Amino acid sequence: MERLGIISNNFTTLEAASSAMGRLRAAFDAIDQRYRLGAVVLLAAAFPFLVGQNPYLVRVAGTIGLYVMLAVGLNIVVGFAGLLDLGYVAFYAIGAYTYAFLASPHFGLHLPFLAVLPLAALAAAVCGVLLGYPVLRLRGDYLAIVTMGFGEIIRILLINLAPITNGPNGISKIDGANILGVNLNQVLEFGFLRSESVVNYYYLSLVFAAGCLLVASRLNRSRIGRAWQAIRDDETAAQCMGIHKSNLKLLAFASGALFAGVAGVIFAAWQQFVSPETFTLNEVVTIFCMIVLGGTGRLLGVVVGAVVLVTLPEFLREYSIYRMAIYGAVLVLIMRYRPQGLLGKAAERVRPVLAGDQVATLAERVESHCLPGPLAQPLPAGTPLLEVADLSKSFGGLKAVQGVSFTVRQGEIVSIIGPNGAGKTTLFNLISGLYRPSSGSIRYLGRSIVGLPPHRLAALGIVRTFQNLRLFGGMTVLENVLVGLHCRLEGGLLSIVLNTSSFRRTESIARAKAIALLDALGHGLAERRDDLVLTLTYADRRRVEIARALASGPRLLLLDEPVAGMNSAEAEEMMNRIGHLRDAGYTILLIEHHMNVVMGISDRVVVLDQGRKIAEGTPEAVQKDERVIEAYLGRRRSKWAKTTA
Amino acid sequence: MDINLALAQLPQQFVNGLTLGCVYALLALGYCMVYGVLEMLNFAHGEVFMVGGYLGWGVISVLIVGAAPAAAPLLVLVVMLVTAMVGAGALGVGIERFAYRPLRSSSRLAPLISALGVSIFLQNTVMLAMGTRGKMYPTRAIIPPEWTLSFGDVTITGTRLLIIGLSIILMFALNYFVQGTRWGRGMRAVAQDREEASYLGIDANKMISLTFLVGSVLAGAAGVLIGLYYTQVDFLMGWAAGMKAFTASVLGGIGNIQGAMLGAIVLGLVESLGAAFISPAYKDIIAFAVLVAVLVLKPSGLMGENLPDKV
Repeated sequence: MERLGIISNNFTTLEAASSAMGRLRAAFDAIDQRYRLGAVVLLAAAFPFLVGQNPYLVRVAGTIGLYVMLAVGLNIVVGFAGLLDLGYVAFYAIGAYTYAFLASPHFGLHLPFLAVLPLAALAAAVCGVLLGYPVLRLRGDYLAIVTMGFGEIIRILLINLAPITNGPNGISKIDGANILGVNLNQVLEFGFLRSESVVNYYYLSLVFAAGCLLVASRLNRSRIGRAWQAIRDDETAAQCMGIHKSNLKLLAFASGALFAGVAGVIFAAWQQFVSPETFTLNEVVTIFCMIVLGGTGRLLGVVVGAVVLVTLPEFLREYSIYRMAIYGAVLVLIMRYRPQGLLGKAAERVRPVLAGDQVATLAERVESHCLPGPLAQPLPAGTPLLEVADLSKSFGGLKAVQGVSFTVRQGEIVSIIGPNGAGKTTLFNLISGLYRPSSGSIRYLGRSIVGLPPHRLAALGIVRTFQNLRLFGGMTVLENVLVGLHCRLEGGLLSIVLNTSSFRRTESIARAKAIALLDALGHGLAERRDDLVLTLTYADRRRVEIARALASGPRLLLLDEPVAGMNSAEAEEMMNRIGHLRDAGYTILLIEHHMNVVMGISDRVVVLDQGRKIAEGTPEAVQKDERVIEAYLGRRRSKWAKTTA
Repeated sequence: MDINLALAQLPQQFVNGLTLGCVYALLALGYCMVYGVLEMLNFAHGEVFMVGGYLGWGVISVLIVGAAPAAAPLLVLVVMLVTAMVGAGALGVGIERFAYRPLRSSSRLAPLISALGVSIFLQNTVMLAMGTRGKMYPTRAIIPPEWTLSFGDVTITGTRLLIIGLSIILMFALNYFVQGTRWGRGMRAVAQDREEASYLGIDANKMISLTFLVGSVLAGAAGVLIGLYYTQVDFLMGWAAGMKAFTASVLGGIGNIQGAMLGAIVLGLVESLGAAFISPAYKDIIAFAVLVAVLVLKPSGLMGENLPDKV
């Protein structure tokens, strides 16, 4: 009974601690970000001297720095891009062993630290791509198990390739870090300050951890970070918004691996010893726990997770043999009482670039700086934009679309209608590149687009919305629209990492444009831009999805049931909006069941039934067409025959 | 290696691989069923298997004094299996209740970490309670060495016969349970669509508990069988075997019961043939290489269905 008391006491303590954590976080959030950051940096820089250069405490703090690097890198792969990588520790091993090979008596090579660092980081990144490439098609848990296999393979190779790696004994007497003639293994003196070796390595680890955090946070806020999150939330929708899925996944693997490689080099130089024992699956598990514990995807959370999980076993040291059991139990309890992580999963707050009243002035700036998109070169009305000829698609024996042909001209609104199962959405999937046609041709501006992937089509100016709303649920309203801008934004990796002025300019114009788009759609969407998209009403989400599609600057807009789930007032407003879009120069192909909308705004209507086109013409003509009436209501005579029989 | 010698070894290695594959299969089914119902990796499943092995040892330590069993060997065996299966089943259900159920609505990673926590906790608790050294299984006292079948060069020991035989019986029983009973139908319904199933009056929580129960019962039996096979159990065995079994269920197409069985047998065979003909040190590499090759060629596993993405 007494033991039970202790356990329940622990529960209340944990709950109290977690609510205290919540309050702490609120207080923390209230302080201006810059002061917060400054305070943390100052504290971290002064730490060794605050504890009187206590070697034990400084070593623990330096270890935290190493884990921050590792966790930030894994967070890019898992938290940002949503790829479950259980083989992550292999890249850490590759970094560490590269340094050990090139800077130790093992092969008699003694290259300088600063020369090995980029080599090792590159080696890890290349391995990241080599692992990433074959597993690109795999999802979720399949990916997890294959990457885990990769991690184990590297570890087993390290153990068994004894002539190269010295097997289980590892490589010792590795050179310490010697940076531009300063040997970190020696006591350094700066005037009256003396800095022990462990303190030197603490600073090395701190500088690189801070660098990793900075790079990761810049990536996170850039078009690349948004593209990763979009892939994480919905791969298909991300592709249709112009995101090159495979390249971005490989980039995530490579960036994560690069961070781990850097951490490996610092680890090897600091410990001056590497062995396969360090690079086990348990290590990946620990790093995973850090990410989840802090709150996935949140960089500050990753730091908190690293601090907690490195220090927790140290605090438990006095319980020596019980500590791992307690550690396991604490993990379970934290997840049970704070499943969103210690810091919660709030979207990382971005300093508002614009206040609400600045929107209008910025909208003007957008006009002058308009990001190039297909709409920049207007076409004469009536030019054939999309020509579908004899298009068919079968799934096994099911012929979903059979020999459908029609043309959409610049400046038209064409509606596709038909009963359920007529093949309307399949047709959209064919045009937007999600399916490959079984036969037939699709031409856009006279060029065949059959076989082009969705992201290429988005770049060419064909963009779609989805019947069942495919917004990126983990992102804010503004971020969703910004994803639409992905293929119109320039800014390579280097300009993002260096935060160049041209990158900052494009980013602020992109934001202004996205806000202007939201503003144009009304309903206070521009004011709600920093809310998570899932907090919006259904009708508002439809509007955001259209804003996202418009952001990519399309010529041809494919709208799949844009008023589904809306009430009649909302539907009418949407109908007017679609009419305005046509007046603004967009060409629209839409699927809709809402007949008032279809008949009210369409220039032409294409009717599908059981995969075939059964009629095409003006709304009035189609409404009177015998075959259309039959498709919707059934044949009069056969119905009669049934009832009399 | 001499090719003739190698060929002569082939049938024996085949039997070894089959034995190992059967144990993996019993364990893989647990991963597979839990994945089918909850889409989560139950990292603690290997630990349930390990606890099953220890429970079997507990029965031995009570019923076998010295080298001779206090009761008929067959009876000892049955008591061991039943104890391990009941104990492991209860443990599995308890883990789900305490560590997974409260997390069902949170992100995918939260239950994963919780499962890792359970795994670390169980491993270390067993180590603290039972000591760091493994516990010996007096296999010879339970299954006499005379119970061995020989076909030319191939010998199948009684233990192997028991493992293969019992695994096949349990797999058939499971198949009947899942396909032929109303409980199994409920489980399949919850696996397909939990929400819809609960509208139709199926208690989803009960079915999830049942899934954990069935999976853990099989793991408990596997724990005893592996103890008999290697003549010892230790607190670390759950992790390695669990990873193998999970690999096997992915190989077969995760969530697919027959796929898990097939994947496990294939993995067992690949491992033992690889160890014999290439190098024991690289058997894990070979196993993973086969897995990667299969998944790259067929991303949904050997028996998984390639479902088109729903748009």
